[in-house]
Amino acid sequence: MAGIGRHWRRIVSSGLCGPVAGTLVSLLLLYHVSTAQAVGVPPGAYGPLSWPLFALILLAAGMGLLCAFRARELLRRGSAPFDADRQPAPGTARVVLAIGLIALYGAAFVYAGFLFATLAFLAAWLAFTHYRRPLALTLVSVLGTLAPLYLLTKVVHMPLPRGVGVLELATIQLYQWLRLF
Amino acid sequence: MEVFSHLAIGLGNVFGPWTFALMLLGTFVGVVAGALPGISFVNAMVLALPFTYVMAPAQAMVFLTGIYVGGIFGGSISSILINIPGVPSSMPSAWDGYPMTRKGLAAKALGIAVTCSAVGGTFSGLLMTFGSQPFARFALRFGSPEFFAATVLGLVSIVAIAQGRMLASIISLFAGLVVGAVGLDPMYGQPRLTFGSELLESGIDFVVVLVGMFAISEVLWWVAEGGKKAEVVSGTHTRMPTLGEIYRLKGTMARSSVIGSVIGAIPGAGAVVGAVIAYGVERQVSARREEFGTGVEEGLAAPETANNATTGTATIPLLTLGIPGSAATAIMLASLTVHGIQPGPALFLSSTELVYTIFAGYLVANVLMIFAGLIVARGFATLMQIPEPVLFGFISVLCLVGAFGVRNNVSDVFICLGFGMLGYAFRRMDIPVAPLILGVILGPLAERYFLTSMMSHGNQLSVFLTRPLSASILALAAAFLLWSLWPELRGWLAQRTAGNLARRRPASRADRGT
Repeated sequence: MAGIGRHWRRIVSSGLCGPVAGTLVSLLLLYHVSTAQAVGVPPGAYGPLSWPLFALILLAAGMGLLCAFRARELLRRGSAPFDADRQPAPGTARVVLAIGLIALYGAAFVYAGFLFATLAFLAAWLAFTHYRRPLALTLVSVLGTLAPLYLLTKVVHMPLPRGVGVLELATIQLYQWLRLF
Repeated sequence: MEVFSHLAIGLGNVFGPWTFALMLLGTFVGVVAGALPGISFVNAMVLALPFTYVMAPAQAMVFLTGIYVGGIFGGSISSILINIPGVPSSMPSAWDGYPMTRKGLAAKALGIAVTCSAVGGTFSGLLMTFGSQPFARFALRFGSPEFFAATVLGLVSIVAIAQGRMLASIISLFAGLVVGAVGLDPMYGQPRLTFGSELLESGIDFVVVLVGMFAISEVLWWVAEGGKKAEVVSGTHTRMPTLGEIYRLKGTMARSSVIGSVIGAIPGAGAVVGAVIAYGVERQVSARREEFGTGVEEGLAAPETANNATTGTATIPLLTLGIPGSAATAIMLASLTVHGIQPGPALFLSSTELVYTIFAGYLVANVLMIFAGLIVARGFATLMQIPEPVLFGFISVLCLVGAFGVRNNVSDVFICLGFGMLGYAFRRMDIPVAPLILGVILGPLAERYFLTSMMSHGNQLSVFLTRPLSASILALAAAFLLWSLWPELRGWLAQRTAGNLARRRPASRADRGT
C-alpha cells in the first residue's frame, strides 16, 4: 500500500493528472461530436460538425502529446530520489471555500435579488478574508452594494434581478425609498 | 489640398462648444467603461445610442467616436494595474504592463500606455483621413477566403507570444476553438456541444469567458496566496514618458501603428488581433525578447499602439462600404442609419462635411483621451490603496454582474465561475490563458468564413491558395509562424548537434583514467 501511495504521489507531482484528464475529456467530446448526425448537409460537403471535430482532434492530439512529455519526464525521474513531501497546492481549501461563496452569490442573485445577495456576499466575503472590523465591514457592505446599484440602475440602466416572494417586495420597497424608481 | 480644406472645416465643426463637450464626455465615458472589467465600452456605446437620436449626425458620431477611442485605451488601465483586461484588446497590455506595476513602475506603465495609444490612434486617424478611398478599393477585393486567411493569421500569432510554452499555448488555443464552437453553427443552425441545453445553443459569450478566465481566476489566485499582493504599488499618478523614452520607443510605435492600422482595416479582425500580432512581432525583433513578460517597455508599447491604431482604419470599411467590422462600428452604423445617412462611396460626395468632421473627431479624440486617461487612471490607481479584501470583493461583484448582464441570465454567472476555476487551474498548470480567449473570439469567425468559402467555391480547399490575396495572407501567416518558431528550432537543433558531437568525440585520456 505504501508503494502504491508513493507511486501515486509521484504521478501527481509530475503534473500528469491534468493532461490525462484533458485528454480523456477531449476524447469523450470527440466521440460525442463524431457520432452526432449532421443535418441538411450535401454529401461530401463540410458541415456544422466539421469545425468542432477539427478543433477536438487538435485538442486531443495536443493533450496527448503533453501527456507523453510528462510521462517521459516521470519515467526519467524514476531513478532520482523521490520527493515524498509534496504538499497540496497552497490555499486549496480556501480556494474551494471562495468558489463556494461566489457560487452561492450567483445562486442568490435570482432568489434574493441583487441588493440582498450583494449585501450578504460582501459581508460574508470580508469575514472570510479576515476583514472583520464590525463598523468597517458594515459600511463597506452597505456602501459597496448601494454604489454599484446606483451605477447599474441609474446610469447603465441594467435590469437587475429583484428576487422572489418576500425578498422581491422588500427590494421594491427599498428601491422606492432609495428613489431608484 | 482639397483634403486639407475639408479637414479644416471638420476641425472647425469639432471645436464647436456643444460638439466638443459631447466628444469630451464620450471620451471620459469610454475610458471609465473600458477600465471596468465586465462593463466594456461597447456596452457604453449601446447605452449611449438612444441619446444620439436627438443629436445632429456629426455630434452623434463624434460622441460615439469619443467612447470608442477612450474605451479601447480604458481597458489598459485595469490590465496594467490589476492584471484584469477591461476589454479583450487590452489583454496583451497585461503581459508586460502588470509586471511593471509589480516592480513599482505603474505610473510609468500608464504613461507609456496613454502616449502610445494616442500615437497609434492619431496615425490611424491620419491614415483614415488621407487613405479612405484607396483602402475602399482594396477592401472590395476581400471575400470569405481572404477573411478566413486573416483570422488564421490572427490565430497563428499566438505562437509568437508563447514565450517558451509552445505546446501549452497551442493546447490553450485549441481549447478556445472548442469553446467557441459551442452553440448553433453559423450556416446550418445545428447545435453542437450543447448537450440539450437551450442556453448553450446561443453559445458561450467571450465576455463571460474573458471575465472568468482573467478576473475570477485572479480573485481565486489571490485567495490561494493567502490574500497577499506580491508588491505594493507605488504612486497613484501617471508619469508621462520623457522625450528620450519616447525616442527609444519610436521603432516600436512605428511598427505597431502600421500593424494595427492594417489589421483594423480588415473587417472582423479587430483590435485584439492587432494588439496580439504587434506584441508578437515586437517580441521577435526586440533585442530584449527574452525579457518579454517581465515588464519590458516595448512589450507594453506595442499592443497599446496597435489596439488604438485599429480604431481609425476600422471605420474605413464602415464609411466607404457600409460594412461594420466590429461591434463598435456596427453601433456607429446604427446611429448613421437612424439619421437617414447611408454609408458607402457616395457618402464622400453627398456628406463631405460630415465625413471630415468624423475624421477630425478621431484626431481630436486621441488627444482628449490623454487627459481623460490621466484623470481616470489616477482615480483607478487610488483604488489600489483600498484594502485587498474590499477590492477583490468588489471585483467579484462587478464580474458576476458583468457576466449576468451579457444575456440577463444567471446561468452565465455560473459559466463565468466555471471559467474562473478553469483559469485558476490553467495558471496552476502553467498553461497560458490568453490563447484560449483568442480561440474563443476568432474561432467562430474562422468557422463562418471557412464554411462560406466552401459553400461558394464547391468545397475546394484549394480556393485559399488559388486566390492571390488569400494565398498571400496565408503565406504571411506561415512566414510569421516560422519566424516565431525559429529561435526555439535553432535552440533545439543546437542541443542535438552538441549532443551528437559529445557522443562522437573519442574519450580523452582523463576520461579513460590513464
